[in-house]
Amino acid sequence: MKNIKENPLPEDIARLVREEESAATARFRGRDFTGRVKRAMAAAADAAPVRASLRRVPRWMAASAGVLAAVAIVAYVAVPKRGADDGAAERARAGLVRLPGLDGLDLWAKVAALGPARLPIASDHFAAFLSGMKAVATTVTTVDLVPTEGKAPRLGFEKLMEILIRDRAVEKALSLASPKLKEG
Amino acid sequence: MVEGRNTVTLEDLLIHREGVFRICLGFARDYAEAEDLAQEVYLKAHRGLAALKNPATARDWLFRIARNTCLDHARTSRPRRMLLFRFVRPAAATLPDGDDAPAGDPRLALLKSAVLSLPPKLREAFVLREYAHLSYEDIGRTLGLRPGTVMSRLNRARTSVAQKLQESRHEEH
Repeated sequence: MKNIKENPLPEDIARLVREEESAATARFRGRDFTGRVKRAMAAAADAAPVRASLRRVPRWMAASAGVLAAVAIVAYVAVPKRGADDGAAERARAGLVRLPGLDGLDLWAKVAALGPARLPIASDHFAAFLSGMKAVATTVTTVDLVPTEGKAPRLGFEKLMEILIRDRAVEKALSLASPKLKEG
Repeated sequence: MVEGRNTVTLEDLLIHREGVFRICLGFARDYAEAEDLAQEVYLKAHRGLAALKNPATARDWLFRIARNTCLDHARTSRPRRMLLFRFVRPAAATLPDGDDAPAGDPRLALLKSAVLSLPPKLREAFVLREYAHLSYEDIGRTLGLRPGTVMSRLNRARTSVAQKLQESRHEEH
């Protein structure tokens, strides 16, 4: 502190500060600041029980309520409702199915397209949902297999045995030809 | 604090109301804001009275609350002021019912602008010295600084304010 030389405020600025301060202080003295503070405290005390009761709610509970509310909102938007306009839900679903790992959500659309099972979560629609799922599975299987033309010929017992024996023989030959592997 | 008593009451704190108000005035843009801030300081102090361990330091403690309240207010009200400045005419800096409004003085508006543009560390030293008239030791106790640091910051703050006012005058002419 000894080495620091005080650099006073220029006189015109100091005067300006003094003018402001003296005018404001005079005005402040003319007001009932003490009364104002006490009234504000009384008002704060009236509001205190509400604030205290809010403060008693544990933070984890408030956080859980927040998470639940968020999930409910997402579910409300994302789950299509029976008979309702599917615009928002469709948009949400379209966005979700683009995310990696969530393309399974596309099943919803297939179920929805097949029948009345539009709300898979609701218990009263569970049977309808299952039937919808079966229909989807059938559709998917049919689409995935190579289509056959006409009726497939029924195999006789001899033909069946021939295929089996040939199959076992090929399997045996392959296992003899391949090098033995130690497991573990 | 009354002699022999080791607790502080609101009445004891209200003795320093002018000092608190002057600190708030130094940080605030106008009289009304300063009075609101002073009230907030007392509400905070009243809530925190139980935390005051040493009644002998009540004044420093109260002034520290004033400084923190004002700096917090400046920080949180900045976005609002920017919006007001952008969309409303900058006439909000006048006093509500005062014909002797100091903020109406253009020189005072320049001074306020210069003080408010100081970094918080310099601003608090400037306000505590020029508005609250605290000694270097008192400022040091309030801010938790050595008196030498206080003086150094105060010198920088004064130089900065003087330069800014000088620049503003040059721009006007």
